[in-house]
Formats: sequence, structure tokens, C-alpha cells
Amino acid sequence: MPDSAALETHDLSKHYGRLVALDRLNLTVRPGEVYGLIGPNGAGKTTLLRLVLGLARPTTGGVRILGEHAGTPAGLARIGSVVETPAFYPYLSGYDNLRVLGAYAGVGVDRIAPALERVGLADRGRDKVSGYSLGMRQRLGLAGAYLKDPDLYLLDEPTNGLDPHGIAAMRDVIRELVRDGKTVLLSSHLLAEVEQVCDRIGIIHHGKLLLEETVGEVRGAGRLLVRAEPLAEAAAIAERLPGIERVELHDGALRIDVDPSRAAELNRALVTAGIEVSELRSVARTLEEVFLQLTGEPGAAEVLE
Amino acid sequence: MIGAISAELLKLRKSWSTWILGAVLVLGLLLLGYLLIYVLVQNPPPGDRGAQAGIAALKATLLPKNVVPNVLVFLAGLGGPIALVIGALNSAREYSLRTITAILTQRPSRLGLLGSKVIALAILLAVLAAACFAVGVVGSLAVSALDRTPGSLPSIIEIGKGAAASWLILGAWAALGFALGMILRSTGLAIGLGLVYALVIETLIGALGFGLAAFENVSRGLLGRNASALAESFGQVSVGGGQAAINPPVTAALVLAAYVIGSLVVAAILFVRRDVT
Repeated sequence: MPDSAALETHDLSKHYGRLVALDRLNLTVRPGEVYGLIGPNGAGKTTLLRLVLGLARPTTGGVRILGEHAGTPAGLARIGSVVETPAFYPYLSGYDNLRVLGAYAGVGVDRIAPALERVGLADRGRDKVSGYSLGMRQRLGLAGAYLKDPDLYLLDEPTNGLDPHGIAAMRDVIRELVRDGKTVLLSSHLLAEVEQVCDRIGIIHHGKLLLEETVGEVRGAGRLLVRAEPLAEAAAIAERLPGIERVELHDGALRIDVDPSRAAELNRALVTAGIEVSELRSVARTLEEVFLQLTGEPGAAEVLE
Repeated sequence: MIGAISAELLKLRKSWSTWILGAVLVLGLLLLGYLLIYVLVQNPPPGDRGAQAGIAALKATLLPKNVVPNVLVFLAGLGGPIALVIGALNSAREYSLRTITAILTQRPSRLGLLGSKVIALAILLAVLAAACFAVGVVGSLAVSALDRTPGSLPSIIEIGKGAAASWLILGAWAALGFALGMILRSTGLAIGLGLVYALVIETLIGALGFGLAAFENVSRGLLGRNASALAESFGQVSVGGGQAAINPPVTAALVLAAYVIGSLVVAAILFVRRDVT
């Protein structure tokens, strides 16, 4: 495996008895990017993160983090993680919880105050964690990740429990990390969130990586929306045009996967055939549309072709 | 490693459960091992000469010369289950709170983490054993002064041996609790099953051992019976003689050490090999 990848999995599989949680997964996170890992519940995201962090062992294949094997002290030293809702010792203060984490990470106590300051918990650091809100725990988890000053941040649903201001602040945090040259692997259910901050995304379903592309590539060059009468005849004409990959019927209109610069050509073909075109415009696909289409979840567009 | 041990000690020091269990142990010794018996011997029930002799023997257990067996017998009894709970909490609580994930994703190797927890636990048990002996010394000197009975403490070597034996007894119980916590990954289940073993199964097998040879052989390997055998090797403090020691002291110490090693090996194998879910 090339050492240029911040994180790379090679034919990574994890079986729990007869259940295949991950199936020969090959995923690459490049240095300095924000990689969004998305997938439905039970798709294998958490299993993947556990394997990356060395909490579980792969059935086959392996994971490398900046050239180091996952789960080894050298590999863990380079990852800061906030996995699910961060867990802390409720009877300890936020400061003491970070002291414990820092001791195990091999970092000095001098890093604690700046980490608390960075997440806005400097004035609550001496309070017991049992009195913290979910959002404060999430921020303390992030402070714990900062302690090691790692190269790779692994954030699993980091906006869980955060209010809108907190979510916006988390977005800023991620952008700031990237500005500092860090790499971020973000696992989230919030597709809009992923769309906003991620450079590339990987869609995982039934333990398989269905897609790994930039957000722009995923959304495609665009598509055309056509409202016309009669619609079925318009669809048939569109399907016959060369270079058209797919024609979908959606909400009383056609969605046609084609370069939007061919709008005039399409319009001409329809009008020539006597079709009455009431609307023809370029539309971009949302990440949600691509996600639903790939994972076959309810709500996916009806495919005509 | 030193940083990790100090982190474990910090967790133990700041946990209420440590202080409560420690207080139960130390105050239990003071109340049940000294105060209650002192009140009883000062207000003896009317009885025949046999009963008077029993009271006199009971009073003798409170004197400074008997501090080592008195403390050890208490620790082999009530101390065992308390140490078991401390051990179970030390391992299983990481799973119950889900903090095991946070710690393991820092940098330690699994064996390094386990080693830090065990060393911190051993330090805590040493402190508790020392605190019990301190209470025993103070309690016996107080009885001696109140009763105006001259008495001297055993030699420092004898007290040291007793403290080491008490550390081994507490350590064996705590190691069993620690292993149960690792096996079951649930605080409640580990403590519950551990106490069932300590208070019910050991008693049942011990009782059956008096009538059946097969059970007698089994009871020679019981943790509690060997803890009692080791404790009583420092001097008999039970009124009326109590049960005969199940094993000679060296054998009893070896059985307890085997419990410590066996429990920690099982805990280590499971901790290193199993996925953290």
C-alpha cells in the first residue's frame, strides 16, 4: 500500500458468525481532505471505524494509517477520534477526564487547558462531567481528540446533540482542521452536512463500498428537467437520443441524465416530434438523491430505462 | 506506564465507590472486630463457667498481641467480598461506562492498559490492608488502655507478615472480581455472580465437605477456605476453636497466589483477544 494515503483499507472484511458486516472494502482517504463516509444504519460504518481504531480485528484484509498498522500504538498515536457519543467518567471533571486520556496517549497535562479552551469549555473544565449536556460531552470528546495533535481525525456523527450554533461551529472546526493540514474522516447521517464540508465521499451499503468520488463527481455534471405533453412520448424520444444515460419519471416531469449544454438539441427533437414542452431547465442532483438511488432505500426515483 | 498507573490511581481516588467500600472495610473492622466485641465482653450475659471462659477468650482477641490474627480473620471474612466488588468495579465499569473505547483509542497496548489497572488495584489494596492494620493497632491499644490490661504489640516483622498475608487475601478476591468483570463486561453481573460465589457457593461446598470426601477435596481449593486457613495460621481467634484449617499455611498461600495468577491470565487473554463491542 502506498504510504501517501492518510488511511487505506485493503480487502477489509469483518464477519460476525454468518453475518458479513464488511465485505472486501477498499477505501482510501487522502492526506488533507475531508472524507465523508455515509451509509444507512447497519451498513458497516461503525464496524469500519472500530477496525480503523483497533477496537476489533478484521476477518481478512487490513487497515493502514499513514503507513502504520491500525490498532498499534504507532497507528493510534496519529488518530484523534470522536466515536459515537463520547463516553467519560461521570465522577471526574472534564479536566480530569482529559488527564486520564492524556496519560494513556502519552501527552503532558500542559495540552489540556488549550484543548478545553479550543472547544469553549475552559470555564467548565473543573465541573464534573455528570453535569454536562450532550453537546458539552461532544465538545469534550473533540478536546480529547485534540490532545494528541493527530494527523487524522475520525469523527463519527460529531454533530449529535448539538444545537444549530453548535453544528455550525463544528463545521468551522472541520474546516479549521483542514486549514491546519489535518485529514478528517467524517461519518454522518446528515447528508447536507457531508455535502457542505466534504471533499470526497464514500457510500457504504451492506458492508460494500458502492462509490468513492468527489462530491462534484457524485452529483454529476448535472441533468435536465423536462415538463412536456404527452410525457411518455417525450420520454421515448429522449431515450432515443445518443449519449443519454438515463431517463427518470419524477413528480410529473422527466429527469434526464445528460450534459445540460445539450438542452437546445433535446428541445428541438421534442418540438419536431410535436411534443408540447412547457419547461426545460438544468438541475443538479443532490447527494440525497444519489444516496437513495444507490442504496435502494424508499423514495428512490422511479427509473424508466 | 507510570502515567497510565497514575491515571488509574486518579480514577480510583476520585470514585465514591472506592471511598465507600474502603470505609465499609475499615469501619467494619473497627465496629465488628473491636467495638461490638468490647461491648459484649464488658456486659457479659449470665452463664456458667464455660460461657465465662468463652468471654475471656473473646476478650483476649482484642488485645494488642492478637492484632494480626484478629485483622486477618476479619479480612478473610468480610474483606474478601469487598475486595471482589472493588476488583469487579475496576474492570467491568470501563465497559458499563463505555470508557474502554475512549482509553483504548489513545495509545496504550491492551496488555499495557491491563497492567496499569492491575498495579493501581494492587496499590489500593495495599493501602486498604495497611489502613486495616492501623485501625487494628489503634483498636487493640485502646482496648488495652480502657481495660487497664498491659499488652504489647507483636514485632514489626510479624505485623509485616500479617499485612502481606492480608494483601494476598484481598488480592486473590479482587483478582477474581477483576476477571469476572472482564469476562462478563457488566458491573452488576460481575458483582452479583461474584457475591453468589463468595457467600453461597463457598458456604454450601464447605458445609458439604464435612460429610463427603469428594466435596472435602473440592473445598481444599476454595478461595475463602484458603484465605481463612492462611489467616488462622497467625493465631486462632475463633471462640471455641472454629473449623480446622483446610490446608497448611504455605499451601493456602500458594492456592491464593494461583487464584491471583489464574484470574489475571484469564482476564488478559480475554482482553487481548476479544473485540471491544
